[in-house]
Amino acid sequence: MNEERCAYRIRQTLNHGLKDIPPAAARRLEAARHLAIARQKQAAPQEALAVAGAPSFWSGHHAPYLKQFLAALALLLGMWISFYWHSVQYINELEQVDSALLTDELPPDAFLDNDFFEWLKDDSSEE
Amino acid sequence: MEETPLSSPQQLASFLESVERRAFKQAIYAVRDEEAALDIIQDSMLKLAEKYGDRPEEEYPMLFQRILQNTIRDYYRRTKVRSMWTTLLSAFSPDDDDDYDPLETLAADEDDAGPRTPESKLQQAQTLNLIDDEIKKLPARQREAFLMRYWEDMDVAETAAAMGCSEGSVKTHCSRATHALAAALSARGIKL
Repeated sequence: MNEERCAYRIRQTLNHGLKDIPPAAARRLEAARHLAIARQKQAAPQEALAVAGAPSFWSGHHAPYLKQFLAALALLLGMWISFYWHSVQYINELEQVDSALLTDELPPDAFLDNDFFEWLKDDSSEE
Repeated sequence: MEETPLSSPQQLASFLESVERRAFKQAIYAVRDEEAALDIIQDSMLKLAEKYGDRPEEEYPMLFQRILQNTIRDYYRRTKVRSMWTTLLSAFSPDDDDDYDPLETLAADEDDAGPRTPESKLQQAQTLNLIDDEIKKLPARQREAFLMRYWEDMDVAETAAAMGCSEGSVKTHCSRATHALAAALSARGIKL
């Protein structure tokens, strides 16, 4: 017998037998199908925005990384502000000392401070 | 650039609905246990949906068959490790023959192209039982190739991809399976 024809007849018989699947098994198959559909991996949001003409880093599958990116950005901004504020304060202090030195308005306590003399020595040796 | 359209939940739902019964029977042929077969189908459906749910609909048949065959193999491994005797005993079990009731078959829908007379319906039910038995007896690879190629209507290339073998091997498996089935049925007086 022709192989294809034989296979076709077997297929027909098998298809006919599908109706005899027990109702309990059919219900479980249906439940499994619904569960699978509920857990389907989706890429739909990205597609929808792409259709709208604005695919970007902020949409679609990049979205899970958005929070991490914003957190890192906030951390960097905080570090930069802190660094800037300390720099400004340090420069202000230096300015006060320099202006006091230049105007000979150093408080008497400054001449009792060993660290101050050390600093003056270091400062002069650098120049 | 033209992108391949991704699948919607409706497409996945209709695909699963179209294959679930055949897949269930395939699993039963392989593991010969209804409960285990149902578990295998549920696992396979979940794997397809969770891992490949965003793939184009055309890829579903091949992916699902590959997942199904792998899940069946995993079941074999687990069963082997757990208990050898279960497999051995199930080989001698009558495979739900006790539950077989010709009246259920006779009560089936009449709106298909199937047999119309009670005699022909009974004959077809008996033929189906024989085919079921003979398919169960086929070597695993032959059975996989035959069912994918002729029941799932996958082409040779798709079947080869799902089975992880060459197209030549698929043709050989299919040919041997068909001849084995035809010979077995012929020996039992069934002419297809």
